[in-house]
Amino acid sequence: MRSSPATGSRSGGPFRCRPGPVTPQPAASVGFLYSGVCARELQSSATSRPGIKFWAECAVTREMTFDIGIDLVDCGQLEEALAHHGDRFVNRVYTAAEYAESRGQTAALAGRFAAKEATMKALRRGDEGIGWQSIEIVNGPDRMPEIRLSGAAAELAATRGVTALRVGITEGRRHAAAVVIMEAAR
Amino acid sequence: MTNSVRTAIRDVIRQHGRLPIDVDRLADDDDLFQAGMSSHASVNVMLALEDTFDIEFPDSMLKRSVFESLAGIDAAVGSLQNQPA
Repeated sequence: MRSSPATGSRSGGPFRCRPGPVTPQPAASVGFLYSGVCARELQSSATSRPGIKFWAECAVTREMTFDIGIDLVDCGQLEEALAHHGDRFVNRVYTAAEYAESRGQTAALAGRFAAKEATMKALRRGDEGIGWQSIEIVNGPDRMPEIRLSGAAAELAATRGVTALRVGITEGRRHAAAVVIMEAAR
Repeated sequence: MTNSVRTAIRDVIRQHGRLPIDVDRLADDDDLFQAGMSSHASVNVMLALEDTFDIEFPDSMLKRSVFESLAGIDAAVGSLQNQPA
């Protein structure tokens, strides 16, 4: 999982999370681990550990919240769907960029589908109507996957106060899985 | 909604919902996701419903409440069939 600061609009337009520099940034996993109750413990030990103090302040003063989404897709079932529904399935679920990057490979398409579903879960979608194409999973400049939101998904992210979305995808012969972490400001 | 429509919906669920139980044992209001339908299977159900009833689900209807039960699907299909062409 990579740290990646978010850029983009909260006004309902395209929302994009780009991978950040390789050096870990304060808003990512450590902020997640030490938010909430644990942050108080961090603050109490901050005087002896200045580095920790920064992380604790980050978690407390920004009042960030985090949500996680996870999804698992059976590659065989996705292959059957492709065989049965063909282009209709592809055109309904994937953007042209996603399909091109996947090169039509089942595992890659399954991984992207898992990432879309994991994103919906991390966003706590509830009963919002969201098309699959409004959550686009594409490779960033470093070939790591990143999430781009548009339409109803971007509007929901704005409502949730999302400041960053990070995705990790694993693709195997039989299954593909994805985990998404959402960071939001209260 | 007619019985033939409900029967057709059950057939779609049976063929594409990948439920681990007999669809005929489900009540109209039973939760299909709790019964074992995955999010991926729900895409297949949606596409099969579009084929069966010659309709198209807009993105605004791609939500849990529409696909979580036979009754929800029934209502959604009905509303789409009643829309002016």
